[in-house]
Amino acid sequence: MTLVDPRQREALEQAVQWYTLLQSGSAGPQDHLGWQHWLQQTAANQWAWQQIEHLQQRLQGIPASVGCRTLDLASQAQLNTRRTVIKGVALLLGGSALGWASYDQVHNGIWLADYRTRVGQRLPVTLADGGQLLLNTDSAADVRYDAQQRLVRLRQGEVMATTASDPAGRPFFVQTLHGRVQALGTRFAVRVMQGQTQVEVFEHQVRILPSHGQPLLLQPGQFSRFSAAQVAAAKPLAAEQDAWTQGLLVANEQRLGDFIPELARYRSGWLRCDPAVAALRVSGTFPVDDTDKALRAITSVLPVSIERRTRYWVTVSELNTA
Amino acid sequence: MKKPHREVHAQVDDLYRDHHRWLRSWLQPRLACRHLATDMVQDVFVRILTADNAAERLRAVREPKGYLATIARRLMIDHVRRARLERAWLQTLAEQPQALDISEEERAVLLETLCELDTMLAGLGPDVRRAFLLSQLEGMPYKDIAEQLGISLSSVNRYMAKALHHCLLFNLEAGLA
Repeated sequence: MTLVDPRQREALEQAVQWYTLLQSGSAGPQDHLGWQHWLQQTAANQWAWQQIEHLQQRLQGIPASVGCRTLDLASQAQLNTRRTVIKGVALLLGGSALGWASYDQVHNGIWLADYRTRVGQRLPVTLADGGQLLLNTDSAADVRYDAQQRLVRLRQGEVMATTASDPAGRPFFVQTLHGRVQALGTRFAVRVMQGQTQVEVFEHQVRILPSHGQPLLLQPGQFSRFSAAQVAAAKPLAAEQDAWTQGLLVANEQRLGDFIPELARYRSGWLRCDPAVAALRVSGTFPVDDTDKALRAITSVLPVSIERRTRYWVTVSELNTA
Repeated sequence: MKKPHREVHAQVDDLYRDHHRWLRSWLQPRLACRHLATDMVQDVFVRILTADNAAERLRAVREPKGYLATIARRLMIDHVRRARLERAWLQTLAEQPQALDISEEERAVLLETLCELDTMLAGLGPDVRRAFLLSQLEGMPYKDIAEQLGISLSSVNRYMAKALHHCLLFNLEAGLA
Protein backbone atom coordinates (compact mmCIF):
# COMPACT_ATOMS: atom_id res chain seq x y z
CA MET A 1 0.00 0.00 0.00
CA THR A 2 1.57 3.28 -1.02
CA LEU A 3 0.68 6.86 -1.84
CA VAL A 4 3.41 7.18 -4.46
CA ASP A 5 2.57 6.05 -7.97
CA PRO A 6 5.22 4.57 -10.32
CA ARG A 7 5.63 7.82 -12.27
CA GLN A 8 6.27 9.75 -9.10
CA ARG A 9 8.64 7.08 -7.88
CA GLU A 10 10.66 7.38 -11.06
CA ALA A 11 10.71 11.18 -10.78
CA LEU A 12 11.91 10.90 -7.18
CA GLU A 13 14.80 8.69 -8.24
CA GLN A 14 15.80 11.17 -10.93
CA ALA A 15 15.47 14.10 -8.53
CA VAL A 16 17.80 12.35 -6.09
CA GLN A 17 20.35 11.79 -8.87
CA TRP A 18 20.21 15.44 -9.88
CA TYR A 19 20.44 16.63 -6.33
CA THR A 20 23.50 14.53 -5.49
CA LEU A 21 25.19 15.59 -8.73
CA LEU A 22 24.56 19.29 -8.07
CA GLN A 23 25.72 18.95 -4.46
CA SER A 24 28.79 16.89 -5.25
CA GLY A 25 30.92 19.90 -6.13
CA SER A 26 31.78 18.43 -9.51
CA ALA A 27 28.75 19.74 -11.43
CA GLY A 28 29.45 22.12 -14.33
CA PRO A 29 27.25 24.67 -16.13
CA GLN A 30 26.06 21.91 -18.50
CA ASP A 31 24.75 19.94 -15.53
CA HIS A 32 22.83 22.94 -14.25
CA LEU A 33 21.24 23.40 -17.66
CA GLY A 34 20.44 19.70 -17.77
CA TRP A 35 18.79 19.91 -14.39
CA GLN A 36 16.76 22.97 -15.41
CA HIS A 37 15.62 21.12 -18.49
CA TRP A 38 14.67 18.05 -16.46
CA LEU A 39 12.79 20.17 -13.95
CA GLN A 40 10.67 21.78 -16.66
CA GLN A 41 9.85 18.51 -18.41
CA THR A 42 6.98 17.22 -16.29
CA ALA A 43 4.83 18.16 -13.33
CA ALA A 44 5.99 14.95 -11.64
CA ASN A 45 9.59 16.17 -11.84
CA GLN A 46 8.65 19.47 -10.20
CA TRP A 47 6.71 17.60 -7.56
CA ALA A 48 9.71 15.36 -6.87
CA TRP A 49 12.08 18.32 -6.60
CA GLN A 50 9.67 19.97 -4.17
CA GLN A 51 9.84 16.90 -1.96
CA ILE A 52 13.60 17.40 -1.69
CA GLU A 53 13.17 21.08 -0.90
CA HIS A 54 10.68 20.30 1.84
CA LEU A 55 13.07 17.83 3.39
CA GLN A 56 15.91 20.35 3.19
CA GLN A 57 13.83 23.01 4.83
CA ARG A 58 12.95 20.67 7.66
CA LEU A 59 16.60 19.80 8.25
CA GLN A 60 17.80 23.38 8.09
CA GLY A 61 15.92 24.15 11.30
CA ILE A 62 18.26 21.88 13.25
CA PRO A 63 21.38 23.46 14.79
CA ALA A 64 24.28 21.31 13.57
CA SER A 65 26.20 20.75 16.79
CA VAL A 66 23.25 19.68 18.95
CA GLY A 67 21.59 17.72 16.16
CA CYS A 68 24.61 15.69 15.09
CA ARG A 69 25.67 14.87 18.64
CA THR A 70 22.19 13.76 19.73
CA LEU A 71 21.68 11.57 16.69
CA ASP A 72 25.18 10.07 16.99
CA LEU A 73 24.61 9.19 20.63
CA ALA A 74 21.22 7.69 19.86
CA SER A 75 22.71 5.66 17.04
CA GLN A 76 25.54 4.35 19.27
CA ALA A 77 22.98 3.36 21.90
CA GLN A 78 21.07 1.55 19.21
CA LEU A 79 24.08 -0.51 18.20
CA ASN A 80 24.66 -1.44 21.82
CA THR A 81 21.12 -2.45 22.57
CA ARG A 82 19.86 -3.83 19.31
CA ARG A 83 19.74 -7.37 20.66
CA THR A 84 17.78 -6.45 23.75
CA VAL A 85 15.20 -4.20 22.16
CA ILE A 86 12.08 -6.09 23.06
CA LYS A 87 13.21 -6.96 26.57
CA GLY A 88 14.08 -3.29 27.01
CA VAL A 89 10.63 -2.06 26.11
CA ALA A 90 9.22 -2.78 29.54
CA LEU A 91 12.02 -0.93 31.33
CA LEU A 92 12.01 2.06 29.05
CA LEU A 93 8.29 2.51 29.03
CA GLY A 94 7.96 2.17 32.78
CA GLY A 95 8.65 5.76 33.72
CA SER A 96 7.66 7.78 30.71
CA ALA A 97 4.34 8.85 29.35
CA LEU A 98 5.01 8.90 25.64
CA GLY A 99 1.92 10.39 24.10
CA TRP A 100 1.19 9.96 20.44
CA ALA A 101 -0.48 13.31 20.06
CA SER A 102 2.75 15.22 19.54
CA TYR A 103 4.19 12.56 17.30
CA ASP A 104 1.10 12.62 15.15
CA GLN A 105 1.15 16.39 14.94
CA VAL A 106 4.60 16.20 13.46
CA HIS A 107 3.38 13.54 11.07
CA ASN A 108 0.08 15.15 10.23
CA GLY A 109 1.08 15.22 6.62
CA ILE A 110 2.06 18.85 6.13
CA TRP A 111 4.50 17.66 3.51
CA LEU A 112 1.63 16.22 1.56
CA ALA A 113 -0.39 19.46 1.36
CA ASP A 114 -1.67 20.68 -2.02
CA TYR A 115 0.31 23.92 -1.73
CA ARG A 116 3.38 24.37 0.36
CA THR A 117 5.94 27.16 0.78
CA ARG A 118 9.43 26.93 2.16
CA VAL A 119 10.76 29.39 4.72
CA GLY A 120 11.18 32.73 2.99
CA GLN A 121 9.02 31.76 0.02
CA ARG A 122 5.66 33.17 -1.11
CA LEU A 123 3.38 31.33 -3.48
CA PRO A 124 0.44 32.83 -5.44
CA VAL A 125 -2.32 30.35 -6.27
CA THR A 126 -5.20 31.03 -8.64
CA LEU A 127 -8.35 29.23 -7.56
CA ALA A 128 -10.82 27.49 -9.86
CA ASP A 129 -13.32 30.36 -9.54
CA GLY A 130 -10.71 33.04 -10.33
CA GLY A 131 -10.09 33.91 -6.69
CA GLN A 132 -6.52 34.33 -5.43
CA LEU A 133 -4.56 32.85 -2.58
CA LEU A 134 -1.13 34.01 -1.56
CA LEU A 135 0.74 31.67 0.76
CA ASN A 136 3.22 33.37 3.05
CA THR A 137 6.48 31.84 4.31
CA ASP A 138 6.45 28.25 5.62
CA SER A 139 2.79 27.63 4.95
CA ALA A 140 0.70 24.69 3.79
CA ALA A 141 -2.86 24.63 2.49
CA ASP A 142 -5.29 22.30 0.75
CA VAL A 143 -8.00 23.52 -1.60
CA ARG A 144 -11.26 21.53 -1.64
CA TYR A 145 -14.08 22.78 -3.84
CA ASP A 146 -17.24 20.70 -3.97
CA ALA A 147 -20.94 21.15 -4.70
CA GLN A 148 -21.67 22.69 -1.28
CA GLN A 149 -18.69 24.87 -0.51
CA ARG A 150 -15.34 26.33 -1.46
CA LEU A 151 -12.92 25.29 1.25
CA VAL A 152 -9.29 26.22 1.87
CA ARG A 153 -7.77 24.17 4.66
CA LEU A 154 -4.85 26.07 6.15
CA ARG A 155 -2.62 23.49 7.79
CA GLN A 156 0.09 25.89 8.88
CA GLY A 157 1.41 29.37 8.26
CA GLU A 158 -0.47 32.24 6.70
CA VAL A 159 -2.56 32.92 3.64
CA MET A 160 -4.04 36.04 2.03
CA ALA A 161 -7.34 35.29 0.31
CA THR A 162 -8.93 37.49 -2.35
CA THR A 163 -12.21 35.82 -3.15
CA ALA A 164 -14.22 35.89 -6.34
CA SER A 165 -18.00 35.67 -6.45
CA ASP A 166 -19.25 32.19 -7.23
CA PRO A 167 -21.98 31.71 -9.87
CA ALA A 168 -23.21 28.69 -7.91
CA GLY A 169 -23.39 30.78 -4.74
CA ARG A 170 -21.24 28.40 -2.70
CA PRO A 171 -19.78 29.90 0.49
CA PHE A 172 -16.00 30.37 0.76
CA PHE A 173 -14.26 29.17 3.95
CA VAL A 174 -10.75 29.09 5.29
CA GLN A 175 -10.53 26.35 7.87
CA THR A 176 -7.87 25.94 10.55
CA LEU A 177 -7.43 23.77 13.60
CA HIS A 178 -9.54 26.27 15.56
CA GLY A 179 -12.54 26.77 13.34
CA ARG A 180 -13.69 28.43 10.12
CA VAL A 181 -13.50 31.88 8.62
CA GLN A 182 -16.24 32.68 6.13
CA ALA A 183 -15.59 35.27 3.44
CA LEU A 184 -18.31 37.78 2.68
CA GLY A 185 -16.93 39.08 -0.64
CA THR A 186 -13.56 40.15 0.56
CA ARG A 187 -9.80 40.34 0.99
CA PHE A 188 -8.49 38.93 4.24
CA ALA A 189 -5.55 37.12 5.81
CA VAL A 190 -5.64 34.06 8.07
CA ARG A 191 -2.66 32.93 10.10
CA VAL A 192 -2.30 29.83 12.25
CA MET A 193 -0.43 30.61 15.47
CA GLN A 194 0.35 28.72 18.65
CA GLY A 195 -3.02 27.66 20.05
CA GLN A 196 -5.03 30.17 18.04
CA THR A 197 -5.80 31.59 14.62
CA GLN A 198 -5.48 35.26 13.63
CA VAL A 199 -7.77 36.90 11.09
CA GLU A 200 -7.14 40.31 9.49
CA VAL A 201 -9.74 41.94 7.24
CA PHE A 202 -8.63 44.40 4.55
CA GLU A 203 -11.83 44.67 2.49
CA HIS A 204 -15.50 43.92 3.22
CA GLN A 205 -16.32 41.56 6.03
CA VAL A 206 -15.63 38.05 7.29
CA ARG A 207 -17.40 35.92 9.82
CA ILE A 208 -15.34 33.95 12.33
CA LEU A 209 -16.87 30.60 13.27
CA PRO A 210 -14.83 28.97 16.04
CA SER A 211 -15.29 25.20 16.39
CA HIS A 212 -17.36 25.48 19.58
CA GLY A 213 -17.77 29.17 20.44
CA GLN A 214 -19.89 32.17 19.45
CA PRO A 215 -19.28 33.56 15.93
CA LEU A 216 -18.05 37.12 15.34
CA LEU A 217 -18.48 39.44 12.36
CA LEU A 218 -15.24 41.25 11.57
CA GLN A 219 -15.25 44.63 9.77
CA PRO A 220 -12.62 45.93 7.32
CA GLY A 221 -9.59 47.36 9.15
CA GLN A 222 -10.09 45.01 12.08
CA PHE A 223 -8.33 41.91 13.30
CA SER A 224 -9.06 39.27 15.89
CA ARG A 225 -7.72 36.00 17.20
CA PHE A 226 -9.73 32.92 18.02
CA SER A 227 -9.29 29.54 19.62
CA ALA A 228 -11.62 26.59 19.14
CA ALA A 229 -13.66 27.81 22.11
CA GLN A 230 -13.86 31.59 21.70
CA VAL A 231 -13.16 34.68 19.63
CA ALA A 232 -11.31 37.67 21.14
CA ALA A 233 -12.82 41.15 20.72
CA ALA A 234 -12.05 42.82 17.37
CA LYS A 235 -9.20 45.37 17.39
CA PRO A 236 -8.07 47.95 14.84
CA LEU A 237 -5.48 46.70 12.38
CA ALA A 238 -2.06 48.39 12.40
CA ALA A 239 -1.12 50.15 9.15
CA GLU A 240 0.47 47.99 6.43
CA GLN A 241 -0.17 44.64 8.08
CA ASP A 242 -0.41 43.21 4.57
CA ALA A 243 3.01 44.51 3.54
CA TRP A 244 4.25 40.91 3.52
CA THR A 245 2.34 40.37 0.29
CA GLN A 246 4.86 42.83 -1.20
CA GLY A 247 7.79 41.12 0.55
CA LEU A 248 8.07 43.76 3.27
CA LEU A 249 7.81 43.85 7.02
CA VAL A 250 6.75 47.17 8.52
CA ALA A 251 7.51 48.04 12.15
CA ASN A 252 6.23 51.13 13.92
CA GLU A 253 7.79 51.60 17.35
CA GLN A 254 7.58 47.84 17.75
CA ARG A 255 9.37 46.05 20.60
CA LEU A 256 12.45 44.28 19.27
CA GLY A 257 11.28 41.22 21.22
CA ASP A 258 8.13 41.17 19.07
CA PHE A 259 9.78 42.19 15.82
CA ILE A 260 12.55 39.56 15.73
CA PRO A 261 10.17 36.56 15.96
CA GLU A 262 8.23 38.08 13.04
CA LEU A 263 11.42 38.41 11.01
CA ALA A 264 12.44 34.88 12.05
CA ARG A 265 9.44 33.47 10.21
CA TYR A 266 11.18 34.34 6.95
CA ARG A 267 14.54 32.87 7.82
CA SER A 268 15.75 29.25 7.95
CA GLY A 269 17.10 28.08 11.27
CA TRP A 270 16.86 29.90 14.53
CA LEU A 271 16.82 33.64 14.93
CA ARG A 272 16.16 34.84 18.42
CA CYS A 273 16.26 38.01 20.46
CA ASP A 274 18.16 38.22 23.75
CA PRO A 275 15.69 39.31 26.49
CA ALA A 276 18.21 42.03 27.50
CA VAL A 277 17.42 43.98 24.31
CA ALA A 278 13.81 42.89 23.82
CA ALA A 279 12.40 46.19 25.12
CA LEU A 280 14.21 48.35 22.53
CA ARG A 281 11.87 49.91 19.95
CA VAL A 282 12.30 49.51 16.24
CA SER A 283 10.69 51.37 13.31
CA GLY A 284 11.15 50.95 9.59
CA THR A 285 10.42 48.90 6.50
CA PHE A 286 12.42 45.71 6.13
CA PRO A 287 12.80 43.27 3.23
CA VAL A 288 11.71 39.77 4.25
CA ASP A 289 13.48 38.23 1.25
CA ASP A 290 16.86 39.34 2.62
CA THR A 291 16.78 38.88 6.37
CA ASP A 292 20.54 39.44 6.64
CA LYS A 293 20.02 42.91 5.21
CA ALA A 294 17.19 43.51 7.69
CA LEU A 295 19.46 42.44 10.55
CA ARG A 296 22.23 44.76 9.36
CA ALA A 297 19.73 47.60 9.21
CA ILE A 298 18.79 46.95 12.83
CA THR A 299 22.39 47.01 14.03
CA SER A 300 22.86 50.37 12.33
CA VAL A 301 20.08 52.04 14.32
CA LEU A 302 20.01 50.13 17.64
CA PRO A 303 22.76 49.28 20.15
CA VAL A 304 22.66 45.57 19.35
CA SER A 305 25.02 43.07 17.79
CA ILE A 306 24.30 39.96 15.73
CA GLU A 307 25.84 36.80 17.13
CA ARG A 308 26.19 33.96 14.66
CA ARG A 309 26.78 30.57 16.29
CA THR A 310 26.30 28.69 13.05
CA ARG A 311 24.76 29.43 9.67
CA TYR A 312 21.35 28.66 11.07
CA TRP A 313 21.65 29.91 14.61
CA VAL A 314 21.64 33.67 15.10
CA THR A 315 21.03 35.76 18.20
CA VAL A 316 20.37 39.49 18.41
CA SER A 317 22.08 40.56 21.63
CA GLU A 318 23.41 43.53 23.54
CA LEU A 319 26.21 45.47 21.88
CA ASN A 320 29.40 44.64 23.74
CA THR A 321 31.08 48.02 24.12
CA ALA A 322 34.01 46.73 26.19
CA MET B 1 -5.69 16.50 14.02
CA LYS B 2 -8.58 15.64 11.80
CA LYS B 3 -11.58 13.81 13.16
CA PRO B 4 -11.92 10.17 12.14
CA HIS B 5 -14.71 9.54 9.70
CA ARG B 6 -17.90 7.77 10.84
CA GLU B 7 -17.20 4.85 8.52
CA VAL B 8 -13.74 4.46 10.04
CA HIS B 9 -15.27 4.45 13.49
CA ALA B 10 -17.57 1.59 12.60
CA GLN B 11 -14.73 -0.42 11.06
CA VAL B 12 -12.46 0.15 14.04
CA ASP B 13 -15.30 -0.76 16.40
CA ASP B 14 -15.59 -4.12 14.67
CA LEU B 15 -11.85 -4.63 14.70
CA TYR B 16 -11.69 -3.76 18.36
CA ARG B 17 -14.59 -6.02 19.37
CA ASP B 18 -13.24 -9.00 17.46
CA HIS B 19 -9.55 -8.74 18.18
CA HIS B 20 -8.57 -6.55 21.12
CA ARG B 21 -8.37 -9.50 23.53
CA TRP B 22 -6.25 -11.40 21.06
CA LEU B 23 -3.97 -8.37 20.62
CA ARG B 24 -3.51 -8.00 24.36
CA SER B 25 -2.60 -11.65 24.73
CA TRP B 26 -0.16 -11.26 21.84
CA LEU B 27 1.46 -8.22 23.44
CA GLN B 28 1.57 -9.42 27.03
CA PRO B 29 4.45 -11.93 26.83
CA ARG B 30 6.37 -9.42 24.72
CA LEU B 31 6.01 -6.62 27.24
CA ALA B 32 6.16 -8.50 30.52
CA CYS B 33 3.56 -6.20 32.07
CA ARG B 34 -0.20 -6.40 31.90
CA HIS B 35 -0.87 -2.66 32.27
CA LEU B 36 1.57 -1.85 29.54
CA ALA B 37 -0.02 -4.35 27.23
CA THR B 38 -3.43 -2.77 27.88
CA ASP B 39 -2.05 0.70 27.14
CA MET B 40 -0.38 -0.53 24.00
CA VAL B 41 -3.63 -2.05 22.75
CA GLN B 42 -5.23 1.39 23.08
CA ASP B 43 -2.28 3.00 21.29
CA VAL B 44 -2.63 0.58 18.40
CA PHE B 45 -6.29 1.48 17.89
CA VAL B 46 -5.64 5.21 18.27
CA ARG B 47 -2.97 4.86 15.63
CA ILE B 48 -5.40 3.18 13.25
CA LEU B 49 -8.10 5.79 13.88
CA THR B 50 -5.85 8.80 13.30
CA ALA B 51 -3.89 7.50 10.31
CA ASP B 52 -4.12 9.38 7.01
CA ASN B 53 -6.56 7.64 4.65
CA ALA B 54 -7.67 5.44 7.54
CA ALA B 55 -10.78 4.25 5.70
CA GLU B 56 -8.91 3.13 2.60
CA ARG B 57 -6.34 1.33 4.63
CA LEU B 58 -8.91 -0.50 6.70
CA ARG B 59 -10.74 -1.60 3.59
CA ALA B 60 -7.49 -3.09 2.26
CA VAL B 61 -6.90 -5.20 5.37
CA ARG B 62 -7.21 -8.92 4.65
CA GLU B 63 -5.60 -10.37 7.76
CA PRO B 64 -6.78 -8.32 10.75
CA LYS B 65 -4.49 -10.07 13.23
CA GLY B 66 -1.45 -9.65 11.05
CA TYR B 67 -2.35 -5.98 10.55
CA LEU B 68 -2.72 -5.35 14.30
CA ALA B 69 0.51 -7.18 15.10
CA THR B 70 2.41 -5.16 12.50
CA ILE B 71 1.24 -1.88 13.98
CA ALA B 72 1.93 -3.09 17.52
CA ARG B 73 5.45 -4.15 16.56
CA ARG B 74 6.13 -0.74 15.01
CA LEU B 75 4.79 1.03 18.07
CA MET B 76 7.05 -0.96 20.37
CA ILE B 77 10.08 -0.12 18.27
CA ASP B 78 9.05 3.55 18.05
CA HIS B 79 8.72 3.74 21.82
CA VAL B 80 12.18 2.33 22.34
CA ARG B 81 13.69 4.62 19.73
CA ARG B 82 12.02 7.63 21.28
CA ALA B 83 13.30 6.81 24.79
CA ARG B 84 16.80 6.30 23.42
CA LEU B 85 16.76 9.61 21.59
CA GLU B 86 15.53 11.45 24.67
CA ARG B 87 18.46 10.09 26.67
CA ALA B 88 20.91 11.12 23.94
CA TRP B 89 19.29 14.56 23.88
CA LEU B 90 19.70 15.06 27.65
CA GLN B 91 23.32 14.03 27.44
CA THR B 92 23.91 16.47 24.57
CA LEU B 93 22.31 19.32 26.50
CA ALA B 94 24.55 18.50 29.47
CA GLU B 95 27.62 18.58 27.24
CA GLN B 96 26.68 21.76 25.40
CA PRO B 97 25.29 24.21 27.96
CA GLN B 98 24.92 26.90 25.29
CA ALA B 99 22.26 24.72 23.70
CA LEU B 100 20.17 25.31 26.84
CA ASP B 101 20.02 28.96 25.94
CA ILE B 102 16.66 28.56 24.19
CA SER B 103 13.10 28.51 25.42
CA GLU B 104 11.33 25.37 26.65
CA GLU B 105 9.12 25.57 23.62
CA GLU B 106 11.98 25.80 21.14
CA ARG B 107 13.63 22.87 22.87
CA ALA B 108 10.46 20.77 22.62
CA VAL B 109 10.16 21.54 18.91
CA LEU B 110 13.81 20.69 18.30
CA LEU B 111 13.53 17.41 20.19
CA GLU B 112 10.45 16.52 18.17
CA THR B 113 12.28 17.29 14.93
CA LEU B 114 15.29 15.21 15.97
CA CYS B 115 13.01 12.35 16.89
CA GLU B 116 11.41 12.52 13.50
CA LEU B 117 14.80 12.62 11.81
CA ASP B 118 16.03 9.67 13.90
CA THR B 119 12.98 7.64 12.93
CA MET B 120 13.44 8.64 9.32
CA LEU B 121 17.09 7.51 9.30
CA ALA B 122 16.40 4.20 11.01
CA GLY B 123 17.32 1.33 8.77
CA LEU B 124 20.19 3.13 7.04
CA GLY B 125 23.72 1.82 7.65
CA PRO B 126 25.92 3.81 10.07
CA ASP B 127 28.16 5.24 7.31
CA VAL B 128 25.23 6.22 5.11
CA ARG B 129 23.56 7.91 8.07
CA ARG B 130 26.77 9.69 9.07
CA ALA B 131 27.44 10.96 5.54
CA PHE B 132 23.91 12.26 5.26
CA LEU B 133 24.06 14.11 8.59
CA LEU B 134 27.46 15.64 7.85
CA SER B 135 26.19 16.94 4.55
CA GLN B 136 22.71 18.04 5.61
CA LEU B 137 23.28 19.36 9.14
CA GLU B 138 26.92 20.46 9.04
CA GLY B 139 26.87 21.52 5.40
CA MET B 140 30.12 19.62 4.81
CA PRO B 141 31.25 19.26 1.16
CA TYR B 142 31.31 15.71 -0.27
CA LYS B 143 35.08 15.84 -0.62
CA ASP B 144 35.52 16.47 3.13
CA ILE B 145 32.99 13.79 4.02
CA ALA B 146 34.95 11.28 1.95
CA GLU B 147 38.11 12.24 3.85
CA GLN B 148 36.49 12.11 7.27
CA LEU B 149 34.86 8.72 6.73
CA GLY B 150 37.83 7.33 4.81
CA ILE B 151 35.74 6.40 1.78
CA SER B 152 35.84 7.34 -1.90
CA LEU B 153 34.04 10.32 -3.35
CA SER B 154 31.84 8.05 -5.45
CA SER B 155 30.83 6.21 -2.27
CA VAL B 156 29.74 9.51 -0.74
CA ASN B 157 27.66 10.17 -3.84
CA ARG B 158 26.08 6.77 -3.60
CA TYR B 159 25.42 7.06 0.13
CA MET B 160 23.83 10.48 -0.24
CA ALA B 161 21.53 9.30 -3.01
CA LYS B 162 20.55 6.26 -0.98
CA ALA B 163 19.82 8.26 2.19
CA LEU B 164 17.92 10.97 0.38
CA HIS B 165 15.78 8.52 -1.55
CA HIS B 166 15.02 6.63 1.65
CA CYS B 167 14.02 9.84 3.48
CA LEU B 168 11.78 11.07 0.68
CA LEU B 169 9.88 7.80 0.51
CA PHE B 170 9.68 7.66 4.28
CA ASN B 171 8.13 11.11 4.45
CA LEU B 172 5.65 10.40 1.71
CA GLU B 173 4.59 7.17 3.31
CA ALA B 174 4.76 8.40 6.91
CA GLY B 175 1.52 7.76 8.66
CA LEU B 176 1.01 4.56 6.74
CA ALA B 177 0.27 2.19 9.56
